[in-house]
Amino acid sequence: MFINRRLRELNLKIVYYGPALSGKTTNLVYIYNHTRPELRGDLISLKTREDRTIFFDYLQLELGQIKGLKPKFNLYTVPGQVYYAASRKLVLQGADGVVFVADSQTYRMVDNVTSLQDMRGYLRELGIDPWSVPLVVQFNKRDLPDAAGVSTLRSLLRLNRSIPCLESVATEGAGVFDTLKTIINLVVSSVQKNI
Amino acid sequence: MDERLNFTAAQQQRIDDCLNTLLAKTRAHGVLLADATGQLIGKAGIANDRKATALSTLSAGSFAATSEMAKFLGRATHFSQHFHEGEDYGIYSATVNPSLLLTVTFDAEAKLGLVRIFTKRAVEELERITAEAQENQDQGDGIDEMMDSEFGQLLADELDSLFAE
Ligand SMILES: Nc1nc2c(ncn2[C@@H]2O[C@H](COP(=O)(O)OP(=O)(O)OP(=O)(O)O)[C@@H](O)[C@H]2O)c(=O)[nH]1
Ligand SMILES: [Mg+2]
Repeated sequence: MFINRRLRELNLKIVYYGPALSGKTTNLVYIYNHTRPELRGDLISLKTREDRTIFFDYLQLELGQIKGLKPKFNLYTVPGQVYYAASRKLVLQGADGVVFVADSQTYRMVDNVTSLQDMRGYLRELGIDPWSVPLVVQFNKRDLPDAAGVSTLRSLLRLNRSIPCLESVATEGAGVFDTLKTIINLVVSSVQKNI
Repeated sequence: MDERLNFTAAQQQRIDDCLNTLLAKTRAHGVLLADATGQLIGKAGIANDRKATALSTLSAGSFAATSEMAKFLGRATHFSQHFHEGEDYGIYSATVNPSLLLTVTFDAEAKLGLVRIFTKRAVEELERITAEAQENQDQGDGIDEMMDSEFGQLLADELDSLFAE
Protein backbone atom coordinates (compact mmCIF):
# COMPACT_ATOMS: atom_id res chain seq x y z
CA MET A 1 0.00 0.00 0.00
CA PHE A 2 1.22 3.47 -0.79
CA ILE A 3 -0.74 6.64 -0.11
CA ASN A 4 0.23 9.77 -1.99
CA ARG A 5 -1.07 12.33 0.46
CA ARG A 6 -0.53 15.26 -1.83
CA LEU A 7 -2.53 13.73 -4.67
CA ARG A 8 -4.77 11.78 -2.28
CA GLU A 9 -4.19 8.50 -4.07
CA LEU A 10 -4.42 5.08 -2.47
CA ASN A 11 -2.28 2.45 -4.25
CA LEU A 12 -2.80 -1.25 -3.62
CA LYS A 13 -0.95 -4.22 -5.06
CA ILE A 14 -2.65 -7.49 -5.98
CA VAL A 15 -0.66 -10.48 -7.22
CA TYR A 16 -2.03 -13.36 -9.29
CA TYR A 17 -0.04 -16.40 -8.25
CA GLY A 18 -0.25 -20.06 -9.27
CA PRO A 19 1.39 -22.95 -11.13
CA ALA A 20 2.51 -22.82 -14.77
CA LEU A 21 -0.26 -22.43 -17.35
CA SER A 22 -3.02 -22.14 -14.75
CA GLY A 23 -4.45 -19.03 -16.45
CA LYS A 24 -2.99 -16.06 -14.55
CA THR A 25 -2.12 -14.06 -17.65
CA THR A 26 -5.49 -14.96 -19.19
CA ASN A 27 -7.20 -13.31 -16.19
CA LEU A 28 -5.30 -10.06 -16.71
CA VAL A 29 -5.85 -10.05 -20.46
CA TYR A 30 -9.58 -10.51 -19.94
CA ILE A 31 -9.71 -7.72 -17.38
CA TYR A 32 -7.75 -5.46 -19.72
CA ASN A 33 -10.05 -6.19 -22.65
CA HIS A 34 -13.23 -5.61 -20.68
CA THR A 35 -12.54 -2.56 -18.53
CA ARG A 36 -13.39 0.94 -19.59
CA PRO A 37 -10.29 2.31 -21.35
CA GLU A 38 -10.24 5.53 -19.32
CA LEU A 39 -9.91 3.52 -16.12
CA ARG A 40 -7.02 1.27 -17.07
CA GLY A 41 -3.37 1.65 -18.04
CA ASP A 42 -1.43 -0.39 -20.58
CA LEU A 43 -1.06 -4.11 -20.11
CA ILE A 44 2.66 -4.76 -19.78
CA SER A 45 3.82 -8.32 -20.35
CA LEU A 46 7.37 -9.51 -19.93
CA LYS A 47 7.06 -12.80 -21.76
CA THR A 48 8.80 -15.26 -24.03
CA ARG A 49 7.98 -15.61 -27.71
CA GLU A 50 5.66 -18.47 -26.76
CA ASP A 51 3.64 -16.11 -24.56
CA ARG A 52 4.91 -17.63 -21.34
CA THR A 53 5.40 -15.09 -18.60
CA ILE A 54 9.10 -14.64 -17.90
CA PHE A 55 8.93 -11.98 -15.20
CA PHE A 56 5.46 -10.49 -14.73
CA ASP A 57 2.37 -9.01 -16.34
CA TYR A 58 1.21 -5.68 -15.01
CA LEU A 59 -2.03 -3.75 -15.29
CA GLN A 60 -3.17 -0.71 -13.35
CA LEU A 61 -6.84 0.02 -12.72
CA GLU A 62 -8.10 3.23 -11.20
CA LEU A 63 -11.44 4.19 -9.79
CA GLY A 64 -13.03 7.60 -9.56
CA GLN A 65 -12.72 9.47 -6.27
CA ILE A 66 -14.34 7.88 -3.27
CA LYS A 67 -14.73 10.24 -0.32
CA GLY A 68 -12.00 12.41 -1.81
CA LEU A 69 -9.58 9.53 -2.21
CA LYS A 70 -8.52 8.00 -5.51
CA PRO A 71 -7.99 4.21 -5.34
CA LYS A 72 -5.56 2.60 -7.78
CA PHE A 73 -5.06 -1.13 -8.08
CA ASN A 74 -1.81 -2.55 -9.39
CA LEU A 75 -2.37 -6.06 -10.69
CA TYR A 76 0.59 -8.37 -11.29
CA THR A 77 0.97 -11.98 -12.38
CA VAL A 78 3.96 -14.17 -11.55
CA PRO A 79 5.62 -16.59 -13.99
CA GLY A 80 4.45 -20.08 -13.08
CA GLN A 81 7.23 -22.13 -14.66
CA VAL A 82 9.41 -23.88 -12.08
CA TYR A 83 12.68 -22.25 -13.06
CA TYR A 84 11.41 -18.70 -12.57
CA ALA A 85 11.28 -19.02 -8.78
CA ALA A 86 13.44 -15.93 -8.20
CA SER A 87 11.06 -13.77 -10.23
CA ARG A 88 8.02 -15.07 -8.37
CA LYS A 89 9.44 -14.00 -5.06
CA LEU A 90 10.33 -10.54 -6.39
CA VAL A 91 6.84 -9.95 -7.70
CA LEU A 92 5.28 -10.94 -4.36
CA GLN A 93 7.10 -8.11 -2.58
CA GLY A 94 4.72 -5.59 -1.14
CA ALA A 95 1.60 -7.53 -2.12
CA ASP A 96 -1.53 -6.33 -0.32
CA GLY A 97 -3.52 -9.33 -1.53
CA VAL A 98 -3.10 -12.51 -3.54
CA VAL A 99 -5.30 -14.35 -6.03
CA PHE A 100 -4.17 -17.95 -6.23
CA VAL A 101 -5.15 -19.28 -9.66
CA ALA A 102 -5.35 -23.07 -9.46
CA ASP A 103 -5.63 -25.35 -12.48
CA SER A 104 -8.69 -27.51 -11.82
CA GLN A 105 -7.48 -30.46 -13.87
CA THR A 106 -6.83 -33.51 -11.72
CA TYR A 107 -3.40 -34.16 -13.16
CA ARG A 108 -2.28 -30.67 -12.04
CA MET A 109 -3.11 -31.18 -8.37
CA VAL A 110 0.47 -31.70 -7.18
CA ASP A 111 1.51 -28.55 -9.04
CA ASN A 112 -1.26 -26.58 -7.33
CA VAL A 113 -0.32 -27.80 -3.88
CA THR A 114 3.40 -27.21 -4.40
CA SER A 115 2.80 -23.75 -5.79
CA LEU A 116 0.62 -22.70 -2.85
CA GLN A 117 3.18 -24.00 -0.37
CA ASP A 118 6.01 -22.22 -2.17
CA MET A 119 4.05 -19.00 -2.11
CA ARG A 120 3.58 -19.15 1.64
CA GLY A 121 7.30 -19.84 2.03
CA TYR A 122 8.23 -16.81 -0.08
CA LEU A 123 5.86 -14.56 1.85
CA ARG A 124 7.48 -15.69 5.09
CA GLU A 125 10.93 -14.99 3.63
CA LEU A 126 9.72 -11.51 2.73
CA GLY A 127 8.64 -10.95 6.31
CA ILE A 128 4.92 -11.18 5.56
CA ASP A 129 2.73 -13.52 7.58
CA PRO A 130 1.15 -15.74 4.88
CA TRP A 131 -1.96 -16.24 6.99
CA SER A 132 -2.61 -12.53 7.34
CA VAL A 133 -2.42 -11.68 3.63
CA PRO A 134 -5.86 -11.45 2.02
CA LEU A 135 -6.18 -14.51 -0.22
CA VAL A 136 -8.77 -15.54 -2.80
CA VAL A 137 -8.49 -18.88 -4.60
CA GLN A 138 -9.73 -19.22 -8.15
CA PHE A 139 -10.41 -22.72 -9.49
CA ASN A 140 -9.82 -22.14 -13.18
CA LYS A 141 -10.45 -24.22 -16.30
CA ARG A 142 -13.85 -25.44 -15.08
CA ASP A 143 -14.71 -26.13 -18.73
CA LEU A 144 -12.28 -29.02 -19.04
CA PRO A 145 -13.57 -32.59 -18.68
CA ASP A 146 -10.83 -33.56 -16.23
CA ALA A 147 -11.68 -30.77 -13.76
CA ALA A 148 -11.81 -32.02 -10.16
CA GLY A 149 -14.80 -31.24 -7.94
CA VAL A 150 -14.73 -28.06 -5.90
CA SER A 151 -14.80 -29.84 -2.53
CA THR A 152 -11.95 -32.11 -3.62
CA LEU A 153 -9.93 -29.06 -4.63
CA ARG A 154 -10.68 -27.33 -1.36
CA SER A 155 -9.55 -30.25 0.74
CA LEU A 156 -6.47 -31.09 -1.34
CA LEU A 157 -5.31 -27.47 -1.07
CA ARG A 158 -6.32 -27.46 2.61
CA LEU A 159 -8.31 -24.27 2.27
CA ASN A 160 -10.32 -23.46 5.33
CA ARG A 161 -13.79 -22.00 5.16
CA SER A 162 -12.65 -18.42 5.62
CA ILE A 163 -10.81 -18.40 2.28
CA PRO A 164 -13.13 -17.41 -0.59
CA CYS A 165 -12.95 -19.83 -3.54
CA LEU A 166 -14.40 -19.01 -6.95
CA GLU A 167 -14.84 -21.10 -10.07
CA SER A 168 -13.76 -19.71 -13.41
CA VAL A 169 -13.24 -20.23 -17.09
CA ALA A 170 -10.79 -17.42 -17.63
CA THR A 171 -10.65 -17.83 -21.41
CA GLU A 172 -14.36 -16.95 -21.50
CA GLY A 173 -14.17 -14.48 -18.65
CA ALA A 174 -16.48 -16.48 -16.39
CA GLY A 175 -15.59 -15.74 -12.77
CA VAL A 176 -12.81 -13.31 -13.67
CA PHE A 177 -14.44 -10.10 -12.46
CA ASP A 178 -15.99 -11.82 -9.45
CA THR A 179 -12.54 -12.93 -8.40
CA LEU A 180 -11.18 -9.41 -8.82
CA LYS A 181 -14.02 -7.86 -6.86
CA THR A 182 -13.65 -10.39 -4.08
CA ILE A 183 -9.94 -9.77 -3.62
CA ILE A 184 -10.34 -5.98 -3.81
CA ASN A 185 -13.02 -6.05 -1.13
CA LEU A 186 -10.88 -8.27 1.05
CA VAL A 187 -7.82 -6.06 0.61
CA VAL A 188 -9.74 -2.91 1.42
CA SER A 189 -11.26 -4.34 4.57
CA SER A 190 -7.86 -5.59 5.68
CA VAL A 191 -6.41 -2.11 5.11
CA GLN A 192 -9.20 -0.73 7.30
CA LYS A 193 -8.38 -3.21 10.05
CA ASN A 194 -4.69 -2.32 9.98
CA ILE A 195 -5.21 1.41 10.34
CA MET B 1 3.10 -4.84 8.60
CA ASP B 2 6.38 -3.80 6.96
CA GLU B 3 8.19 -0.47 6.97
CA ARG B 4 6.00 1.19 4.41
CA LEU B 5 6.83 4.72 3.48
CA ASN B 6 4.37 7.23 4.70
CA PHE B 7 5.18 10.75 3.52
CA THR B 8 3.27 13.78 4.69
CA ALA B 9 1.80 16.02 2.00
CA ALA B 10 4.61 18.50 2.72
CA GLN B 11 7.30 15.83 2.35
CA GLN B 12 5.64 14.65 -0.84
CA GLN B 13 5.81 18.22 -2.12
CA ARG B 14 9.54 18.39 -1.33
CA ILE B 15 10.05 15.14 -3.23
CA ASP B 16 8.24 16.52 -6.26
CA ASP B 17 10.24 19.76 -6.06
CA CYS B 18 13.48 17.80 -5.84
CA LEU B 19 12.58 15.77 -8.92
CA ASN B 20 11.63 18.92 -10.83
CA THR B 21 14.95 20.53 -9.95
CA LEU B 22 16.81 17.47 -11.18
CA LEU B 23 14.84 17.57 -14.41
CA ALA B 24 15.60 21.24 -15.00
CA LYS B 25 19.31 21.05 -14.14
CA THR B 26 20.00 18.07 -16.36
CA ARG B 27 17.64 18.95 -19.21
CA ALA B 28 16.44 15.37 -19.00
CA HIS B 29 13.25 14.05 -20.48
CA GLY B 30 11.78 12.67 -17.33
CA VAL B 31 12.53 11.79 -13.73
CA LEU B 32 10.86 9.08 -11.67
CA LEU B 33 11.05 7.95 -8.08
CA ALA B 34 9.72 4.48 -7.31
CA ASP B 35 10.00 1.97 -4.52
CA ALA B 36 11.39 -1.54 -4.89
CA THR B 37 7.99 -2.89 -5.86
CA GLY B 38 7.66 -0.42 -8.73
CA GLN B 39 5.22 1.80 -6.90
CA LEU B 40 5.55 5.30 -8.33
CA ILE B 41 6.26 7.82 -5.58
CA GLY B 42 6.96 10.94 -7.59
CA LYS B 43 7.66 12.10 -11.11
CA ALA B 44 8.71 15.11 -13.15
CA GLY B 45 8.63 15.81 -16.87
CA ILE B 46 6.46 12.86 -17.77
CA ALA B 47 2.99 14.28 -18.03
CA ASN B 48 1.34 10.99 -18.89
CA ASP B 49 0.49 9.23 -15.64
CA ARG B 50 0.19 5.82 -17.23
CA LYS B 51 3.49 6.05 -18.99
CA ALA B 52 5.18 7.09 -15.75
CA THR B 53 3.60 4.20 -13.85
CA ALA B 54 4.60 1.71 -16.52
CA LEU B 55 8.16 3.02 -16.59
CA SER B 56 8.53 2.85 -12.82
CA THR B 57 7.22 -0.73 -12.74
CA LEU B 58 9.66 -1.76 -15.44
CA SER B 59 12.65 0.03 -13.94
CA ALA B 60 11.97 -1.60 -10.57
CA GLY B 61 11.75 -4.96 -12.31
CA SER B 62 15.01 -4.43 -14.10
CA PHE B 63 16.65 -3.29 -10.90
CA ALA B 64 15.30 -6.27 -8.96
CA ALA B 65 16.55 -8.64 -11.65
CA THR B 66 20.10 -7.27 -11.55
CA SER B 67 20.09 -7.30 -7.73
CA GLU B 68 19.36 -11.02 -7.91
CA MET B 69 22.20 -11.38 -10.40
CA ALA B 70 24.54 -9.74 -7.91
CA LYS B 71 23.37 -12.21 -5.27
CA PHE B 72 24.04 -15.17 -7.53
CA LEU B 73 27.51 -13.81 -8.16
CA GLY B 74 28.02 -14.01 -4.42
CA ARG B 75 27.88 -10.27 -3.82
CA ALA B 76 26.22 -9.00 -0.70
CA THR B 77 25.29 -5.65 -2.15
CA HIS B 78 23.18 -4.71 -5.14
CA PHE B 79 24.31 -2.35 -7.88
CA SER B 80 23.93 1.25 -6.80
CA GLN B 81 23.75 2.69 -10.32
CA HIS B 82 22.41 1.56 -13.66
CA PHE B 83 23.02 3.03 -17.03
CA HIS B 84 21.42 1.95 -20.27
CA GLU B 85 22.75 3.59 -23.36
CA GLY B 86 20.82 3.79 -26.61
CA GLU B 87 21.87 5.42 -29.84
CA ASP B 88 20.65 8.89 -28.93
CA TYR B 89 19.04 8.39 -25.55
CA GLY B 90 19.81 6.90 -22.20
CA ILE B 91 18.35 5.81 -18.88
CA TYR B 92 20.26 6.37 -15.69
CA SER B 93 19.11 5.05 -12.31
CA ALA B 94 20.48 5.29 -8.81
CA THR B 95 19.30 3.80 -5.55
CA VAL B 96 18.05 5.96 -2.73
CA ASN B 97 18.28 4.55 0.72
CA PRO B 98 18.60 1.35 -0.74
CA SER B 99 14.91 0.61 -1.22
CA LEU B 100 13.98 3.44 -3.59
CA LEU B 101 15.03 3.92 -7.18
CA LEU B 102 15.55 7.27 -8.88
CA THR B 103 15.45 7.06 -12.68
CA VAL B 104 16.35 9.72 -15.21
CA THR B 105 15.50 9.35 -18.89
CA PHE B 106 17.26 11.65 -21.30
CA ASP B 107 18.28 12.17 -24.91
CA ALA B 108 21.17 13.83 -26.72
CA GLU B 109 20.33 17.18 -25.17
CA ALA B 110 21.48 16.05 -21.74
CA LYS B 111 25.03 15.19 -20.71
CA LEU B 112 25.62 11.98 -18.79
CA GLY B 113 28.19 13.70 -16.57
CA LEU B 114 25.66 16.29 -15.46
CA VAL B 115 22.99 13.65 -15.01
CA ARG B 116 25.30 11.76 -12.66
CA ILE B 117 26.25 14.82 -10.63
CA PHE B 118 22.74 16.16 -10.18
CA THR B 119 21.29 12.71 -9.55
CA LYS B 120 23.78 12.31 -6.72
CA ARG B 121 22.61 15.57 -5.19
CA ALA B 122 18.98 14.60 -5.57
CA VAL B 123 19.68 11.25 -3.93
CA GLU B 124 21.10 13.05 -0.88
CA GLU B 125 18.04 15.25 -0.57
CA LEU B 126 15.67 12.31 -1.07
CA GLU B 127 17.51 10.33 1.59
CA ARG B 128 17.02 13.20 4.01
CA ILE B 129 13.31 13.27 3.28
CA THR B 130 12.88 9.49 3.62
CA ALA B 131 14.83 9.53 6.88
CA GLU B 132 12.44 12.16 8.22
CA ALA B 133 9.48 10.15 7.00
CA GLN B 134 10.50 7.24 9.20
CA GLU B 135 9.55 9.42 12.16
CA ASN B 136 6.08 10.18 10.85
CA GLN B 137 3.28 9.03 13.06
CA ASP B 138 -0.40 9.48 12.46
CA GLN B 139 -0.70 12.13 9.82
CA GLY B 140 -3.75 13.88 11.10
CA ASP B 141 -4.92 14.70 7.58
CA GLY B 142 -7.96 12.48 7.93
CA ILE B 143 -7.03 10.19 5.07
CA ASP B 144 -6.60 7.13 7.27
CA GLU B 145 -9.94 7.72 8.96
CA MET B 146 -11.58 8.02 5.56
CA MET B 147 -11.09 4.34 4.88
CA ASP B 148 -13.99 3.27 7.04
CA SER B 149 -16.70 0.77 6.30
CA GLU B 150 -18.64 3.33 4.27
CA PHE B 151 -15.56 3.72 2.07
CA GLY B 152 -15.50 -0.05 1.53
CA GLN B 153 -19.16 -0.03 0.56
CA LEU B 154 -18.78 2.90 -1.86
CA LEU B 155 -15.75 1.23 -3.38
CA ALA B 156 -17.65 -2.00 -3.91
CA ASP B 157 -20.33 -0.03 -5.79
CA GLU B 158 -17.72 1.84 -7.78
CA LEU B 159 -16.06 -1.39 -8.87
CA ASP B 160 -18.96 -2.24 -11.14
CA SER B 161 -18.26 0.92 -13.10
CA LEU B 162 -14.86 -0.48 -14.10
CA PHE B 163 -16.35 -3.05 -16.36
CA ALA B 164 -17.37 -2.04 -19.83
CA GLU B 165 -20.73 -3.34 -21.00
N1 LIG C 1 -9.78 -24.58 -21.41
C1 LIG C 1 -9.29 -23.55 -20.73
N2 LIG C 1 -8.08 -23.05 -21.04
C2 LIG C 1 -7.63 -22.00 -20.32
C3 LIG C 1 -8.39 -21.39 -19.29
N3 LIG C 1 -7.68 -20.36 -18.78
C4 LIG C 1 -6.51 -20.32 -19.47
N4 LIG C 1 -6.48 -21.29 -20.40
C5 LIG C 1 -5.40 -21.59 -21.36
O1 LIG C 1 -4.26 -22.06 -20.65
C6 LIG C 1 -3.05 -21.63 -21.28
C7 LIG C 1 -2.15 -20.90 -20.31
O2 LIG C 1 -2.76 -19.70 -19.89
P1 LIG C 1 -1.92 -18.48 -19.31
O3 LIG C 1 -2.88 -17.46 -18.85
O4 LIG C 1 -0.87 -18.05 -20.28
O5 LIG C 1 -1.22 -19.21 -18.08
P2 LIG C 1 -0.24 -18.57 -17.00
O6 LIG C 1 -0.75 -19.00 -15.67
O7 LIG C 1 -0.07 -17.12 -17.20
O8 LIG C 1 1.11 -19.36 -17.34
P3 LIG C 1 2.66 -18.92 -16.98
O9 LIG C 1 2.82 -17.52 -17.42
O10 LIG C 1 3.57 -19.84 -17.68
O11 LIG C 1 2.77 -19.08 -15.50
C8 LIG C 1 -3.48 -20.76 -22.47
O12 LIG C 1 -3.46 -21.53 -23.62
C9 LIG C 1 -4.90 -20.36 -22.10
O13 LIG C 1 -5.70 -20.10 -23.24
C10 LIG C 1 -9.69 -21.93 -19.00
O14 LIG C 1 -10.42 -21.49 -18.11
N5 LIG C 1 -10.07 -23.02 -19.74
MG1 LIG D 1 1.53 -15.95 -17.53
